[in-house]
Amino acid sequence: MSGPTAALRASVAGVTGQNPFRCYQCGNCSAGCPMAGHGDLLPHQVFRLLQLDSEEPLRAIQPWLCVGCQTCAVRCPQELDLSLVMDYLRAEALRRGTAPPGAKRMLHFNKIFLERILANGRLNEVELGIMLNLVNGRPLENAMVVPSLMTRGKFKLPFGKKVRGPGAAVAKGGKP
Amino acid sequence: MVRFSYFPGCSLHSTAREFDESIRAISKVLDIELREIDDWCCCGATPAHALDPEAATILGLWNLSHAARGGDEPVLTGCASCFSRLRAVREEMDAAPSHLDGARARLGLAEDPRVDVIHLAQLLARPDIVEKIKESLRRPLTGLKVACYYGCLLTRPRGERAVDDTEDPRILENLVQMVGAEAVDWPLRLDCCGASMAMPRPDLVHELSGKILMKAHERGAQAMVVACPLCHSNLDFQQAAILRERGADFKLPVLYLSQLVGLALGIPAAELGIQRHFVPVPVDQLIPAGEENRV
Repeated sequence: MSGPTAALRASVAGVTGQNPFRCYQCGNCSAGCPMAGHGDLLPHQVFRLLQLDSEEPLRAIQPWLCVGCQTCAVRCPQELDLSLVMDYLRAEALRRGTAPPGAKRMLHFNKIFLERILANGRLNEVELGIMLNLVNGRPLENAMVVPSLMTRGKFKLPFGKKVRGPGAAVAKGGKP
Repeated sequence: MVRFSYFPGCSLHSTAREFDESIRAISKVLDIELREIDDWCCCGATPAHALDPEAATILGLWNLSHAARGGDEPVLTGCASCFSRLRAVREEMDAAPSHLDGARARLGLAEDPRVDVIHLAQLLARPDIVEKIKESLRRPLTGLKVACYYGCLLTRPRGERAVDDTEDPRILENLVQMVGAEAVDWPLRLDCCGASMAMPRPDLVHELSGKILMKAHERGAQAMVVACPLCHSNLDFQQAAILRERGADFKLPVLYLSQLVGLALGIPAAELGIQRHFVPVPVDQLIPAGEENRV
């Protein structure tokens, strides 16, 4: 077996330790997944497509909808952790430029979140919201939540305490 | 006196500060000493591992190493997501230490910081703390019907540090009963609230959290108890908008487990940050008066 498709299945198994061939399609993961039916693939279909050497999972929205709740992982009779595979598929779709347009909002969210915590050590949720709005071209979306958070003492200016986190250590590897 | 390294996490310093306030308040009454970890940083939550699993590991290892520098007490967290991330890295130390080689090298660590990690719900179920709660009850929550909501990460995955059974946990119900309230029987205790989709896809959170709120209300809950700031945000902060869309006109107060215990210990609601919620909590209508326990 060779070619890019076989390489996808092999790299999923190699990087995540989850061998798609161990899945026998019982559908337990799909029965419990909170995002099943909200995207384009059911979770067990992701494993099936990988078995069939399809690259469709790299173009699908489903991995981008995975919130990592691990329901699939604790219910899999084969003890496969599909949430690790979903993490891998997102990263691989980014590397290959195959992520679907609908992935953009989740990608922006994840990128800004990680970038802010590596820069500041800690996250300020309001700052994250504002930056996400700017990137999404909707600067005033949910703007009215800011005063309501302030009156409850849940948000103060300037944006939180900064600490020296491991941002430099992460950057050493030249990651995204 | 029991001592812990305390990892509040980002939410407990901002949008969930009442979770932090109530943890500190009940700790004083229960003789629990919390030493906040110096310079703790964000656990990475979902976005870090979703984008860069190596970065997520570095964040976890960094925090555990800072905890270990202050002492060998276990790390206590209230946030289910922080707990999940710290626990994942801690368990990797036992299961596959070589997976941490890269992260350890980048942080310049000679060895793994093998401090233990526990969630507040586990601490409140420890026999010595249970005894302490029972003897410190000043305002039992008699008659209050509570829906226990576990969400996703509190009970997952299985393993040595698991909080409880992954499919039928009772740890929150036991706590609710311990403080004199009644746990309602309902089926969506473990269904995801939509979690971090709140910002990128609020429509999904409205759908998932809406089902949870409607079902808890239908089963007669007067309040819900949670152990995660993101669950709280989705179920409290977003509640009015979610229920408006569904044409429902009830209000379901959502309490952190530490607030529920704090009320039963007689700690004034304001010291537990209860006034910071979006859905008002009419404490005096919900529970009988009791003795005050100022901290």
